[in-house]
Amino acid sequence: MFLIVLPDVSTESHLLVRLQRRDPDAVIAVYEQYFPPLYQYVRLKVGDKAIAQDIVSEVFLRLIESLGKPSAPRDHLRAWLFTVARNAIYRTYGEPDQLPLDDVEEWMPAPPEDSNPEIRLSEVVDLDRVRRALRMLAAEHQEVLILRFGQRLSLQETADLMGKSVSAIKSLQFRAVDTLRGILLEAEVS
Amino acid sequence: MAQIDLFDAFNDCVDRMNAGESIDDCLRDYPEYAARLRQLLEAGELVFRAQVPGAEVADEQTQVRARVVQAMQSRQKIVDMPRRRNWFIPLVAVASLVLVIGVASVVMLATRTSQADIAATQTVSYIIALNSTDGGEDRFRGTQTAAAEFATNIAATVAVGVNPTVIGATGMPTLAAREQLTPATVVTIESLEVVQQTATALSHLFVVTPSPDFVLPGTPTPALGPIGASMTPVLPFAGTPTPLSTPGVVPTSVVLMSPVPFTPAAAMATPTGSVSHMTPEPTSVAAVTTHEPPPSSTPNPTATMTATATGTPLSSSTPLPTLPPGTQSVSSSAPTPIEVIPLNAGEIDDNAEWDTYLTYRNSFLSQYGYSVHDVNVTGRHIITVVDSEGYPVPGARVRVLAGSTLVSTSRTYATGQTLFFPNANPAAQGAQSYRVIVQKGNSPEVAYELNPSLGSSWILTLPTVRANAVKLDVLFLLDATGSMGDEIAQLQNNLLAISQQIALLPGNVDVRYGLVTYRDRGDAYVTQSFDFTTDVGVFQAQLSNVRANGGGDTPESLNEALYVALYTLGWRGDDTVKLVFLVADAPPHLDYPNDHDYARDMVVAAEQGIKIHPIASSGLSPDGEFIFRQIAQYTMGHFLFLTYQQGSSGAPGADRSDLSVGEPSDPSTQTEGDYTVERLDELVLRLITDELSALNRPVSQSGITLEALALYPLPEPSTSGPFWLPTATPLPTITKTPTPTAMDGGSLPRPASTASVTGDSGLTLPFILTVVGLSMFLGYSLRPRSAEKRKNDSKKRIRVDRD
Repeated sequence: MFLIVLPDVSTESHLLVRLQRRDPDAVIAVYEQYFPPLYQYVRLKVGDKAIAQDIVSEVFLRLIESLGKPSAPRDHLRAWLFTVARNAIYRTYGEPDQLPLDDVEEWMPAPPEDSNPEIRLSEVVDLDRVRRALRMLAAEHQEVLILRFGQRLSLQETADLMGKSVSAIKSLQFRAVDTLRGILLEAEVS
Repeated sequence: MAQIDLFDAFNDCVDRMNAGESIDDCLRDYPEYAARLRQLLEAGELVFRAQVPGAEVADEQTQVRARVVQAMQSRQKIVDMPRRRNWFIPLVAVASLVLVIGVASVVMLATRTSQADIAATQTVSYIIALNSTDGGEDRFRGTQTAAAEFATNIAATVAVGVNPTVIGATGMPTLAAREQLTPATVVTIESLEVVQQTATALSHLFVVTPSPDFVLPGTPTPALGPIGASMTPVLPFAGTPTPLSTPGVVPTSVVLMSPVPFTPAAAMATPTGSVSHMTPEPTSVAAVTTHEPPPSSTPNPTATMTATATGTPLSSSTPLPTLPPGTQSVSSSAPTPIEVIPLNAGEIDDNAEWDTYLTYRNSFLSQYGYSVHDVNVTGRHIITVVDSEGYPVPGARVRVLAGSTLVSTSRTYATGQTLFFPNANPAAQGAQSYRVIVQKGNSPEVAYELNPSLGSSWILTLPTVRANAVKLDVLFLLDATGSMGDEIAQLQNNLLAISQQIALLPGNVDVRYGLVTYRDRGDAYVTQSFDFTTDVGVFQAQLSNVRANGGGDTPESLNEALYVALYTLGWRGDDTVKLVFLVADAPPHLDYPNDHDYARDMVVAAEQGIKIHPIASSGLSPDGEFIFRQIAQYTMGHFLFLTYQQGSSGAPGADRSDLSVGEPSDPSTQTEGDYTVERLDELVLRLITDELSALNRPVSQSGITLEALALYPLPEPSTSGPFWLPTATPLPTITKTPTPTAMDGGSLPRPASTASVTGDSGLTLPFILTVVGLSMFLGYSLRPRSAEKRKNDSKKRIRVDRD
């Protein structure tokens, strides 16, 4: 038997119960708790502070609108919020492949084959460049990296959110991080 | 062991990094891939570090917060406004109603050949009123908007073979709500049975009460009937008669009345004859025919019963509640004494032995391998609400705010007490002070300031009026799986005896009994519920038919059962003592997908003022004990457990060494133990009488008395509270209709709320549902315009605010 002493059901479950009762204070509590991760997620995806603000605002307005309706969150509040944010981004920018590539003109999919394994990325790459490189990735790669490495979501949560299987997420994150490293090194070399 | 490849090593490392390990920690386990893994993991780590600085997040959060708060406030206003002014849905509903009635009338005229039968029909009115004696009880606020829908439902139902009847409304708690029902419609009722069935079908939504002047045709009146003045005619769904015309008293719930007094001549002429088809089934009549409670001078039947049992007589030392003069209780005719098969039980009040409980709790949680859902109850505060004379205020809603965040909602029990757990909610942890807002019914909210550093027991004085009646809803929540088979017969016997004793309680307690039995997924049923009934005979028939079967593994579907008990039964309002006795021998399944959660629902129980007393049968596992005690402690109940002779095969005794409850007291040697042992029936009855008597006993609890804040700003008291919507979460589809089997002991009684509604015309429930559905569809299909408009208004306002 495994240890499953769950630490506290009072956080997300408590909030869900209160939301189901249309408790207005619960919305504020949700806001305080989930704004930071949502903003980080959206900000990394869209790059623009004002747009990120608008999109995250829309997530909470959607939450308010949904109270008492079938579309309201029921079981997994965090996943619901991230899904709404993700959909809002896609509504703004279209389908995943149409995400802006910022000021980079060409897509650079493959990492350089002769990359020096001794290079420690953290020592040579500044974080602005990482952000730019992220936005150059294919939408799925970008998303899996932000969710798995940025927001520390579990494989299952990420899979649910992206509508893929866990094994697909594993493959995706492997390829994505490999591609990111390639872009970073390429950019560094150039 | 298969060689792990780079791909798997990478995925493993990502998981471990997300769990808090460093890159180097993981690389040590995969030296063969260390160089390549480091490249990949560092790239991933850069994504985490590339997140925007916390200062920017905080700044953005501050900016957006105002927008969200405004949107929330706008929505509250928008949501509330149509509740008062939206006539659209009622108009559509009434229009649909008229249409339905017209069609029904044409059909009837075409099919009915004789109006002679109709001439014998009594004119009956439905008076629909929300339960306004509970004032601001949240659950009924939610139903106000649906009032017109109920009117439609009733009309559609009684339209099945109907003749003249007025459907109207009175006694609504607000003018707006009354207006929603005022459009009266004249329809015809041919069958009183239909009326009764309709009301029964609605009884899970409302307390259905006959008015004093309603007389069932064929039932002798007290003055003229052969049975005499002691007979009070009531309907199958009868409750305490509610005088409609008493000044200042608002009728409760659905009331049946007869505007045209039933003529004694007609009654005498047709005692059981031409109108017999209008009367309920004979069994129903028998079940609900009631006598006045035995006069106080008569020997207490309880004593008679206990004298026949082997145990000690019931304690009569506990003061029992008294009711205002004139209040009638509804009880069955003189019951046949039940010989009790003795069962012994011990009892622990973990809230009273708080330090001991915390030690037990910490000890359990430090063990490895158990599955529970812990709620951090450390740092508990006891809040006691009393009136100006020092008597407890039950059913008061107590909300606690940390800053502007609502962190706890609960209702006071009969003792006026409720609990607040600051560590159970992260938003409440560590606050320097809390604002406690107390409200009883519709009375104004009163605020207090609670400084947690000063103590943990608080007395709050609330100016309020004491309830003038004692209502008691008792629900038995029974594990009916196979593992209960060895004891279920004795338990049933004890519960039957307990129910009988409750019915005979002095003080004219308005008591109702409910029953929920449960098994597990994959069994013949998961839950089977019988809504509250005032008739102990009906309840006992339901209980007697319960059979233990199914189960299989150890845990059972207690989560589901608790949910059904709390959400789907018709609990009464704030001035009701609400008790659940959970009888079981196993913990809930915590591994089911799409299941409910006992920890969440015990919070809900506390919010509804429902106290849960678990009764542990034999063989309860340690996690089961922890969960049962959790539920009891959180809802201020007691943990009860059957006790046995040591080493025996289940004979009643004092031992329960398999639980962490300590040692029993030994009266023979006067050894003080951790718990005392009593007969189960006496113990349960004592808990009930303790609860009732607390209502009429000044509070003796010590604590720090808080002064009400003089000018607490309450923006919109009437709309600021959260809504209580019992049906917010739909029942999962796993609940099955009971399938009686030979092993189950034959046919099961049908719960009242699911009784088939069939009229004389032969039209059946599907037709009624179709008609109701059509009406609702018409109303709903035209609704989106206004909903969309509201949504657009909201967004527009938000944009304006933002600009």
